Amino acid sequence: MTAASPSVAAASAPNHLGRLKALTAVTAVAFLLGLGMALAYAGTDAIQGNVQRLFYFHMGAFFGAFVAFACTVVGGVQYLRTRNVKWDTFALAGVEVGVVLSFINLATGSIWARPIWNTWWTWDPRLTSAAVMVLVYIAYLMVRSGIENRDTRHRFAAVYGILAFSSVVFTLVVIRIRPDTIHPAVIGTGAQDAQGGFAMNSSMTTTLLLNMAVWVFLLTPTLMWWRIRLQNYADRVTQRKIAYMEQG
Amino acid sequence: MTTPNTTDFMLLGIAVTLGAIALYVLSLWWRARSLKADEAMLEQE
Repeated sequence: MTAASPSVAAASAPNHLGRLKALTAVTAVAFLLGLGMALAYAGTDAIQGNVQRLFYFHMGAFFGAFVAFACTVVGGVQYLRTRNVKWDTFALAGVEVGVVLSFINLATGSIWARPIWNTWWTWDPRLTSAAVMVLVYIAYLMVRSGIENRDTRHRFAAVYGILAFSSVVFTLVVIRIRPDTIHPAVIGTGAQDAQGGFAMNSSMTTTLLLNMAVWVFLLTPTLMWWRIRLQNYADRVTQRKIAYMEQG
Repeated sequence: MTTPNTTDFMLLGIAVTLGAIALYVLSLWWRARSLKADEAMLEQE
């Protein structure tokens, strides 16, 4: 059997709206708690001042994007194995949410860099690979939307989503393998030329861990779940349009 | 040593973070609203 039609997949999918709303409420409260801890609980860095607090969101956004893009790989592999369209929807949600979180990662990094590196942007290996990673996934969305045939679109998206993850892995490890990067490594030892690193006390570590948990385990799944719901709804409406046109 | 005043940059970063999430959520809501309008039109016809 080939792919289940979108309408069948959507109609048979459980609704779970109540659970999603509860998750959204928990996510909102936890996000505000993380923001409050970043602003009021974590100590102020003596060298960088308050701008260092952006790191709690900067890192959370990167690892949230990492998880979202990893979901795209899972969705792609599962789609190629089963040809079930629900996995394609899962992969698509991962890319869209991952792009938003990657943008936050890039923007907060750039804003942090202005007072610390005295520039908004530099073609550092880490920054360049992060920018390329975002462009690779924006291209996924653009190319995908241009493919008319549904099965071709799903197959292409699955393969592209799996291959694109290499840009995420490279971005993650580049500060460990390129000695010329100036990007600091907050966890572990960074490159020799790293500028803007900081030592964390216990309040900073607690705040960082909480924010990472919120971004990775709450915000990313919540946004992806809403996106999956929207796609299921879009598929249902498309099927109704097709049925309407076939009628008359 | 004096700690530099970088509060403006912190506030800008937080505004961009919250703004990006809010814009994405708004885009989801907007797309759902558009689909609802399509569905309502199909039901009318």
